[in-house]
Formats: sequence, C-alpha cells, structure tokens
Amino acid sequence: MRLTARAAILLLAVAFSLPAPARVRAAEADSTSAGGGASAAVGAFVEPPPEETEGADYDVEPADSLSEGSIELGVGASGAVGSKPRQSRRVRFSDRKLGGSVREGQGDPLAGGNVETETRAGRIGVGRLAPRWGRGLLLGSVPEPWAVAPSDRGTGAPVRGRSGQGAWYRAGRVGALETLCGRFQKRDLAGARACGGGLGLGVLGDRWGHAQASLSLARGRAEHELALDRGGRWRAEVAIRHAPGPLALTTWARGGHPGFRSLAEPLRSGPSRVLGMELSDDASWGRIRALAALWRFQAGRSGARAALEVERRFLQHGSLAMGFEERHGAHRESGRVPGFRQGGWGEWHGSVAGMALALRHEVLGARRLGRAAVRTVTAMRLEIEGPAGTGIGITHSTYRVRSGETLYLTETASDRVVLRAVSGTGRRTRVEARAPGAGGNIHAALDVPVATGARTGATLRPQWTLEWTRRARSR
Amino acid sequence: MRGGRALPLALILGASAAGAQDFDSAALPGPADSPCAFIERGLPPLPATGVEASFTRWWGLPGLETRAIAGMASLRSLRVAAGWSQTGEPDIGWNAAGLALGVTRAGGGAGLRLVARRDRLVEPGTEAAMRLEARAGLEAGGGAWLEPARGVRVWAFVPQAWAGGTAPPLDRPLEIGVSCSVDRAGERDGLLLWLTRGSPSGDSPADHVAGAALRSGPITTWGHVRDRPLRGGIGLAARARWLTVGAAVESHPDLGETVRLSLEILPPRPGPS
Repeated sequence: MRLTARAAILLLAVAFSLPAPARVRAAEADSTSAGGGASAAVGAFVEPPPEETEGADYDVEPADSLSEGSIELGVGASGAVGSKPRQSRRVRFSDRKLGGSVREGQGDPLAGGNVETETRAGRIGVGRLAPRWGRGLLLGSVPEPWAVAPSDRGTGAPVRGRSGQGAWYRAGRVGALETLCGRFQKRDLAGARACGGGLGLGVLGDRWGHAQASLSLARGRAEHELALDRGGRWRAEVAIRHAPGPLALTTWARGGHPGFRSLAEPLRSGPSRVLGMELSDDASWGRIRALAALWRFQAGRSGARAALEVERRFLQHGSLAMGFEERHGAHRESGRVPGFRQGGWGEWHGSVAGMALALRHEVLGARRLGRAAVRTVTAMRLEIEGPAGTGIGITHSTYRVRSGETLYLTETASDRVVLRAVSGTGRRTRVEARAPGAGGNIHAALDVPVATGARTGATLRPQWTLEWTRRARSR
Repeated sequence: MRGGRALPLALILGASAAGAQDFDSAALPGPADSPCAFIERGLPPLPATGVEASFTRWWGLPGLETRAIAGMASLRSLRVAAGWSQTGEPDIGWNAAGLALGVTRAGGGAGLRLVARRDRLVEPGTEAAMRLEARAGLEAGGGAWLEPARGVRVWAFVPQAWAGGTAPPLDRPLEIGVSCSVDRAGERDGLLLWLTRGSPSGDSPADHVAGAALRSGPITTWGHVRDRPLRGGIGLAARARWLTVGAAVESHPDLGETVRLSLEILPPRPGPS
C-alpha cells in the first residue's frame, strides 16, 4: 500500500503542478461538445454488470430524454460481411401525458419497449422495468461492490437498465405509493412501496410465498435501508454524502447475512459487508476523484479496490486525465478470483475547429505498477466535422489481453453503447459516418477487427450498421 | 508474407519495428514537411508542395535497399501526395505505389494513406503468376495530429488499419506521439523534444522512442533512443533555399545500421517547420 500512496501523491503532484486556466469553463463546454464522444469511445476499466454473461458483448441504451411533443423514428440494418443483414426498427415519443419507446429487431438485445402515461390518480407504465428502492438492497442494487449508486437503475439514471418486464403504477407526484408486477430473472414478482417524509416501506413477493421487505429513510445527507426476507436474513446499508461546494465526500457501509439474495436481482445482491468512501472535487481547474472500498461476500471471498482519477482541463479545448487503481481479491460473488491487479491509464483529448482527437492508453497488471500485464490497450479516436452536418469518426484500438481475461471496448452508436468483448491480441478499427438525408440523419459504421499474435494479420469478419433516424414534432 | 521469396526480408525487417518501410525518409517524427513521410504516416503537413527522393539501406545489407520518390500538392486545406518506391533486388524485391490524402485545419490535420505493393519478379507458372492476391497487396490507414498548445503537437497514426492480398513486409500498428518545440516566435533556432509509442506488433513488446532535435538556422540535427533492445540514431538536415538534404543513421545491436538519405525540393516558408 506504500506504493499505492506514492503513486497517488505523484499523480496529485502532476495534476497540481499544471497552471490553472482562466477560461476553463468555456473551454470545458467547447471540449465537451467536440471531444466528449471521443472520451466516451475509449472508456475506463469498464465491465458489464454481473447478471450478464462474461465474455459476451453488452448493449446498453443511454437515457437521453426526448423533448415534450417530439417523436423519433429509426430504421436500421446491421450484419457481418458474408451473413444476412438484420433489420431493426424503433420509435420513441413524448407527449404531455404519454411517452414511451418501442424497439424491435431480430437478435437485438434491446428489443422491447415501454409506455407510460399520466392519469388523474398518478402515473402508470408498462414494459421494461429498472426500478430502485432506497439504497437498492431489494430493487436497483449497484453492479459493482465498489459503486455507491447504479448508473442503470432508478429514475434519472444515465443508462436505461433492464432488470425486468412488467407494469408499474405510481400515485402522487413524488411517488407516495408505488406498485409493480413483472418478471425479474425468470421469476414473477409483485411489490408495493409507500413513501412519505423520506420514509419508505416496501414489500416484494412471488407466487410461491417468498417475500422480502424494505424499510428506507432518506433525510438530509443520509440514506438508510434495511431489507429482510422471510427466513430472517437481512441486509442494512447507510450512505452519507457531505458536499460543501464542489467538494463532495460520500461514505457508505453495508452489513448483513451472507445468504441474503434479492428476489428480483439475485446476481446483483452484492457483498454482505461493504465499507466505502468516495471523494470528488469538481474544481475550476479540473476534477479529482478518489475511491476506496473493502467488501466481503462470504468467508474466504472478499476484495478491495482503491482508485484515483485526476482530470486537468486546458484553456485550449482539451483535457488530460490520468487514473490509477489497485484491486485485491474477487469482485464477483462467484467465478474465478482475479486476485491482485494494479494499473493505470491516461487519456488526452483536444480539439480545433471542426476536428477532435483523443488518445488513451491503459495497462492493468498482475504485479505492481502494471507489470505482468493482463491487459494493455492503446486507442485513438478522431472526429471530423464536414460541411452541411456531415461528419466522420474513426476509432482504432490495439489490445493485448492475457488468456482467461476479457477486455471490453466501448463503442458508441447512434442509439446505444456497446461494450465489445475482445480477448487475445488484436486491433479493431471503427469508421463511422453521419450525414443528413431523407428528412433525417443517416449513420453508418464499419468495424474491422484484426487478430494478431498467433494469427498475425488475420482479418476477422467486418461488421456494419446502417441507420436512419428522424426526430419531429408531433404537434 | 511476400510470396516466399521476400520472406527473409520480412523476417529481418520484422525483427525490430522500424516504424516505416516503403517511403521511409530522413525526417523528424510526427507531421513532417516531407511527401514521403506523409505517405508513410498519413499525417498531412502544413506546407504541401514539393518533391522528395529518399534512399534507405536496411541494417547494412547491400541488397536490402529502398528507393522512393514522392511529390505532394495542395488545394486550400486539401493535401495530396503520391509516390513510388522499390525495395530489394529484382528477384526478391517489390515495388510499391503510395497515395495520401489529407485535410489540414488551423492547428491540426488528418489524412488517409493507401499503399499497393507488387513483387518485382513473378515467375511464370507459379501461384503468384496466376493469382493477383498472391503477388500483390494493398494496405490502407491514416493518421491525425493536433496542436493543443503553441509548440506542442500530438499525433496518432495507424498505417495498416486494413490490409489485403499479400501481407505487408512490416506489421505497423498504432503509433502515438507528442512533441514539444522550445523556440521563440520568429526565430529559426530552437529545440524540439519528442516521445512516441508504437503499439506491440504480434507478440513483440511495445516500441518507445525519445528524441531531441536542435535547429540552428538552416541546419537541424537530431538524435533518438529506442528501447527493446536499447539503441539509437542520429540525423542531420540542411536547407538551402528550396533544397533540403537529410541523412539519418540508426544502429541496432544485432542487425547493424540503417542509413536513410533524402533530398527534398520544397518552397521556403517563414518560421521554423
């Protein structure tokens, strides 16, 4: 841990030694529009949630909102060279009282939809469910043991999750009463939760008599939740957020029975004991974020993670970010135990008029300072804006992943973010083009994967997508 | 590999990432004012009219030489370069034609490159004589650079994002780099420092280079060190009006010395390049 501390001090020293810009806010706004996509394309040490199959691609839908009175249509096709194309269709709409989205397509993991409307007695919806009660011990848990809040559960989450399918009803503007029924993880469940004055009481059960209850309290800076099942197993969690100005400190702790499993999301039940701390400072010069967490699933299966991320924004439309992290033990309840991992990453992005470039390099090793690397990735992303709303984006990644490990490369499409699972040694080039056409926007992408190493130069089957979208006012 | 005859060449060249092949030039890294470098890296230069001839002797082997000639032109922000090169002796060598297209903006540029190769000698009746893809190959890639602050340049290029037909003699993965120029505005003297990282090729390790160049009037000298194995090189370029002559030598502990010579005719432009 001494080395960890040294590396942290070094990173802090590098970050603080840079001069502070005067116009950083304006530069940030510009750089976000030009390089934000680039930043998102190259990603961090990302992994899909534990309920997904390890080593498989994972698609998620960003929760971008549609303005009231708008409708969005999308028609697309995708495939690989030498195979039959697959069609997809989607529609999203938002009106004063009615909103929703429907998506269909053969083999599309995001196929399905949801519709919700407002009635005199409250709001009702049907379709995809991703609720979050309290701290998420019953519904809406965090995917990783070191996370303080999930990004794909609950209202306001940046990503639309899919924990179940069913219907829900929420009475009152602040959700004084919430009921739901649906199918979660091959199990039919029904539940209800009443809230008032920060206090929430929820019950969830299935047709075979399994039931769980949740009591939560959110008051001031603190959130508490206690969850129980009929066998007397329990979990309790408390999180306290202290945010004086741009500096925010969040601490959380969880305790309970190792055998407690959420009925709705058993694979997300997480560790029975967690102690975590997250510090973030969104200052004018940039951002700093530090995280430390310890957890234990059961006897003999525990883990820890410490991470530090420093981002420095520059005056001239760019930023430099560096991160360091160390992991111990297991971060999944089952499966192999990765053990010790230490690594770091650096990412730079800059832009000039009509062009943005982002570079990223990351290494994660089984020994200190990234040695005995289990995965190494170098990536670049270039975005060029052309005339009349046209544009080109090129992303190229080279990677080397040790046998038994999986790396997830983040690819951003017009309607989704894909975590592309790769392994071995190889490269991947993604070329995207967008242009206005047929009253909407046309987006085309071509992925060219190349395996190297033992199969040097072997070009795998390129994959392509073509999509047309149109957004219009419905009234 | 190149039909079998060129296999020894490929093994020698591939034994150590040399960073360039058909249009190698005695030029500084990154977006250099060189038609050959533009074709080789896909990084469009700011000034874009000129002609260049280059000669490279790989690892001191007399039969392993690359001769190239290239020219470039510009139309507003568009840049185009085309060239032709010949490597090796007639019975084991190949010819290559290269084309680079790019666009530059204030403080940045991006380009695409295409290189087609064909074996110089194709014996009748062989597989190479019957199948085009057995005697010829094509590679496509590109690069981009940006100047995020005055004197600082960041670049990335992928020379072989796609390759078809016979495999290129060198596997050239993604390279990223940064350079910092320390000079006063309007003066022709200055210091340039750079770092580059070439991604691992196959099972070989990554390639890191650190270098420095000193510019004094029309003379530029530079040196660099490269890791795994540790080695280095030096270079010298002199400019007289439209004419620039460059020479660079890079040593290798096992393979010998690589010598690069280049002759450029470029219109003079004010300020340091």
